[in-house]
Amino acid sequence: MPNTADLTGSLRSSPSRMVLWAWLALQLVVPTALLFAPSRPRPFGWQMYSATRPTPAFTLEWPGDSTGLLDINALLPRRRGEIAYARYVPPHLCAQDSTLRSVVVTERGKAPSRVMCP
Amino acid sequence: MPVRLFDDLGARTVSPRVLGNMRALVGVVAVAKSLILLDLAPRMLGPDALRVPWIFGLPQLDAQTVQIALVVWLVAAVAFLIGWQFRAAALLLAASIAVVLSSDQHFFQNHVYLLLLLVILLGFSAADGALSVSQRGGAAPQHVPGWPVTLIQWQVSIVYLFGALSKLNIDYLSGATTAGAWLNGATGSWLVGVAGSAGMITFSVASVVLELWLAFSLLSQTRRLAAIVVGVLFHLGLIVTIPERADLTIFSLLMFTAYLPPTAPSTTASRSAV
Repeated sequence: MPNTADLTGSLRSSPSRMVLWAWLALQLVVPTALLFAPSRPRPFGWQMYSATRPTPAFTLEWPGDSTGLLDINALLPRRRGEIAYARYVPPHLCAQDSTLRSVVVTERGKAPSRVMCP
Repeated sequence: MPVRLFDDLGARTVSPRVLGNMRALVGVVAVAKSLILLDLAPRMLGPDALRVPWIFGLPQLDAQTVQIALVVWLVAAVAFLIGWQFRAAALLLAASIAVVLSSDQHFFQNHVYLLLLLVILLGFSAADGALSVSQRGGAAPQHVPGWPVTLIQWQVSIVYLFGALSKLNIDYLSGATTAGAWLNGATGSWLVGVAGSAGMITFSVASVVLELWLAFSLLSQTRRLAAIVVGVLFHLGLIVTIPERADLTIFSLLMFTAYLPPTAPSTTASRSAV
């Protein structure tokens, strides 16, 4: 049995039930909402190994019609399924190589898109 | 159960040793994860590395600041582990994890997020009341508030629950996702070869059922012991079949935090018996 002094001290130092319920509600609401997101996995949704999101292919184009295929593994020490690489990789490649003219992004189920370097 | 939980959040008390054990386990994981990230950081933050902000176009923390945050993470994790200046250590540890997480989407991993949540919950608890250097002298209380234990037990069940619900899609249930993860390692590749496509569908459906069962059974007083045994085997299976062993070990240890309390949250016996 707890002694009275322990219990009084214990309960005094507990946060209000409202705060505890708010914490629990947040932990339920966020992953529930993310179940309805258009793609999986999403961060903060506890969607580990729930789906595979194939990394797009990136074709580099230089002036004079010379091209090359990017090895994404050389660019990323850690690849994450949650990240939409099609959005982030082309600007990065353009910034890295000032001679690059454009990057063609090929994603599964979509038509290839060309991103012009500035 | 929800009504009982409402009572439990305010009224449950636990032995300080329960929270001390949880703190020690989370502390060990926090130290290990900081060492792994410190080793990986130069490649993730190098000048040629692709940095991915949480909001497109937003400026990011520079590499040096992130590395300083990782060192703070390591030091705070050691203090958290041994219970030295516990509140300050927990605050510093949570802040440094949050800084690293927010610096780049590549630092997001579900177990790092879980680590952050557990550090916050334990940081507000009396988790330095046992197995701690700050415990010296003075009479230690026999019982401390049990709400952090309850919330951690619920948190881990939430992880299992949404782990299962998010797998209810064709890609996963067809076995393709599991095969994709297993094919990266020798044991998994062998299993994929033996199981065939029908076997992979069975494995995938079974894993969803298992995670759902764990989510509810860990909160049940009557099924708790069985759930702990099954859960440990399930995590060992993950570690053996999927080659991301260090990350999966860390994830498993964090999930085991909720296996440590001797009782489920919403039971009369748990009020003061542990």
